[in-house]
Amino acid sequence: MTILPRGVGVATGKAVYEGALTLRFGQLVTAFRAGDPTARFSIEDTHIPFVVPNDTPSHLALTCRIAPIPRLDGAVTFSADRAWDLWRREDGSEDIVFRGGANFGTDVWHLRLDPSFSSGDLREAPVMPDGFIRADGYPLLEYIVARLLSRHDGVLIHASTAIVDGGAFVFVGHSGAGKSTMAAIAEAAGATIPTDDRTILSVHQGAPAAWGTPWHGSLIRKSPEGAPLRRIYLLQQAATDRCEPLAPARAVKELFVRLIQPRLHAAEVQETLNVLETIVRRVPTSILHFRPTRAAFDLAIRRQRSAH
Amino acid sequence: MNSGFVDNSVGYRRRDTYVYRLTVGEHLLVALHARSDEPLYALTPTGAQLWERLARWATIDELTETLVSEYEVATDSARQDVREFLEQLASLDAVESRGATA
Repeated sequence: MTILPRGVGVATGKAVYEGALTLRFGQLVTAFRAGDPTARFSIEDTHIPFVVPNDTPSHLALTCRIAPIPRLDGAVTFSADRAWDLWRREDGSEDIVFRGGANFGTDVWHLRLDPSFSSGDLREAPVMPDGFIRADGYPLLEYIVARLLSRHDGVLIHASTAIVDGGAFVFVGHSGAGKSTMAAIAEAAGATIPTDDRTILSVHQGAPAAWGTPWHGSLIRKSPEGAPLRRIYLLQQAATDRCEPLAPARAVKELFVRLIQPRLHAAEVQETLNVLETIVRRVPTSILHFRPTRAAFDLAIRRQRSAH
Repeated sequence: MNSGFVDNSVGYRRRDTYVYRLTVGEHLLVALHARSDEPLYALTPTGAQLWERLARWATIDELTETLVSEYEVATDSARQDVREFLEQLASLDAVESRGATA
C-alpha cells in the first residue's frame, strides 16, 4: 500500500494497492482482484478503515482491469437517469454501466455480475491519468454494497448511528432531516459515531445490528464499527422533543422508502422486506420529534435505558 | 367512468414489474425501479386477493367471481370494485390486457 499525501497530484489522500484490495462493509466482504499484472487499485483515505486482509473469504470477487467500455446489446432493464444503465440477462446475470464526467456523458465503469452475485468483472475506462482502478468510485461501490446487502440479510439506509453503552441508536432521515446534527450532538454527549449519513442494518442469526460506512455527511464520521441495534428513530424537526412510537407496519414502510437501491430485483425486494420485518419486530422504532439540542438525544437514550 | 373496463372479452394480467408482499399485516405492492416514482402502495385485502388472481389472465367476470365466492357481496358491487381496482392498476402500469375492446 502506498499513501499519497493530500495535495500531491490528487484532491484528497489516497491509498494505492498493487494487484488486490479487499473491503468489508458490515459483515460483507468484496474482493477486488487484478485482471492483468499491471492493475492497481486506489481508494480515498475515508475508505482505508474498511480494508481487510486479502485472504478474508469474500461474498463477491471482482476481476478488474482498465479497458475501454464495450457497447452493450439488448434492451436496458433499468436506468437511473443518466448515471447508470442496467441490463438483466436471461440467465440472471447483469451488466451495469456507470457514467461520469460532464452531464454524465462518459462511460466510466462496466460491472458484470454473475447470476449468484458471487463473482463478476469490473472494467474502468482509461479516463484518469493515474491509471488506477478506483474501487471506491461513486456510485459504483455504494451500488455494489447495496445490492449485496439485499441478498445477504442487510440494507443500506439514509441514517446516522450513535453507539452508546455498546448499543446502536440509528437516526433515519433523508437529506436535511438532521442526521449529522444529531450525530454531532450524540458525539458531544460521549457516543461513538460510526457514520453520520449511511448506515448498514443487518440481521445475523435473528439479531439486528447497525454498522458504519465510508459514505459520510457534513460531520464526516465514517468507520466500520458496528453494534447490536437498540432503537431506530425517524428524525422530524419540531418545536418540542417527543417520541412517537410507530406500529410495525408503518415502520416497515417508513424505513423502506429511505433505503438505497432496494427495488432492482423482485427477490431482493422480498429479502429486504424480510430484513425490515425482523428489525421492526425486535427493535422499537419511533419518530423522534426533536430540536437540535442535547435534550433530544437524552430523550432517545433515556427511553432505551428506562426500558431495561 | 371506467369506460375501459367494461368489456368482458378483455383479459387482464398483472405485470412482473411490481412485487406483492404481506408484511406485518399489511398488503404491500412495491414498484420495481423506474416503474414509478412512488415505491410503495398498500392494498386492501380484497385488492390483494385480486392481485393474486391476476397472476393468470382473467376477465372482469372472473375477477368478480373471485370476490363473490369469498365475500358476502352483491355481484354488481363486486364488479364495480373490480373495475375500479383495474383502473388503479392501469394508472400504475401494473396490469396488461389482451383481447378486443370494441
